[in-house]
Amino acid sequence: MSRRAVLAVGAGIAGAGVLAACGDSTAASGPANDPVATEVAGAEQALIAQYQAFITTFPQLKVELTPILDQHADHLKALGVTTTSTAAPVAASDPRTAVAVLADAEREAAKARRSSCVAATNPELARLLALIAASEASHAPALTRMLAR
Amino acid sequence: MSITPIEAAISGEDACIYAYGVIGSQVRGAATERARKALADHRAWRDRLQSQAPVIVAASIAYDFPFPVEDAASAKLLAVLVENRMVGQYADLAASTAGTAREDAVTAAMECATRAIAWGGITMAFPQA
Repeated sequence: MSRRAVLAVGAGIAGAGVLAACGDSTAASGPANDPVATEVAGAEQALIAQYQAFITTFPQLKVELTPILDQHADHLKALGVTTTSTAAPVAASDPRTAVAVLADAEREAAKARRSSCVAATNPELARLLALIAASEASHAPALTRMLAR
Repeated sequence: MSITPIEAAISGEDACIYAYGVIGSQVRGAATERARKALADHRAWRDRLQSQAPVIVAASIAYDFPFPVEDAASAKLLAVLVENRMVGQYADLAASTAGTAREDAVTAAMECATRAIAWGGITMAFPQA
């Protein structure tokens, strides 16, 4: 056996593969049937509403916030559950405060996804929630980087 | 015999540790400290996983990178690659574990995705390489 390993790169599989894998298996015991999925879907909808509210109030943030907003929409789609959020978006006095509020929200969301992941009974849902937790943890420094500019 | 998720994660951490040796040798200034910290963090996760694995996992002697790493820019790209790749491996580990082991796997995935951003990576809905 060769002891020289290749750092394989699966090109272009990010996102699409995960979504397809989940879409194929939302049958009887699929991720969507886990109550944890419904709870996370509500939280994702709340985040989406918060991003949309800030983009409406501060249109100058639209270009930089839209990719992250779209990623939350992808999270929601992958969960395969439709639900409604009860949390009302908060207001911010200026764009910098808005971005800081979002960075805090992402850090909290990542921790909440980790707890949901531990609570998930379906292994596929656990895998998805681990990826969502990682994505949201990475949103915080990306937002903070916006503040540095 | 197929490789288990924990063995895959240990091998992934070995690849990260090797990669950070190369990355650290190519970057300067604050990035040197970032590489040093990342190297220590990956070693700590590797040791922790190995202590929980039923078998000892051997590291490879060397790794072929998907592109030449011969300056700071390519070193940073490699860092983004190995970190995002590790997120997928920790997500696999999370799916195959429960309780504290699963929580640890998610924490490690969160740290890897965060480091990828620090190295100049872009955010993704489902971080992986």
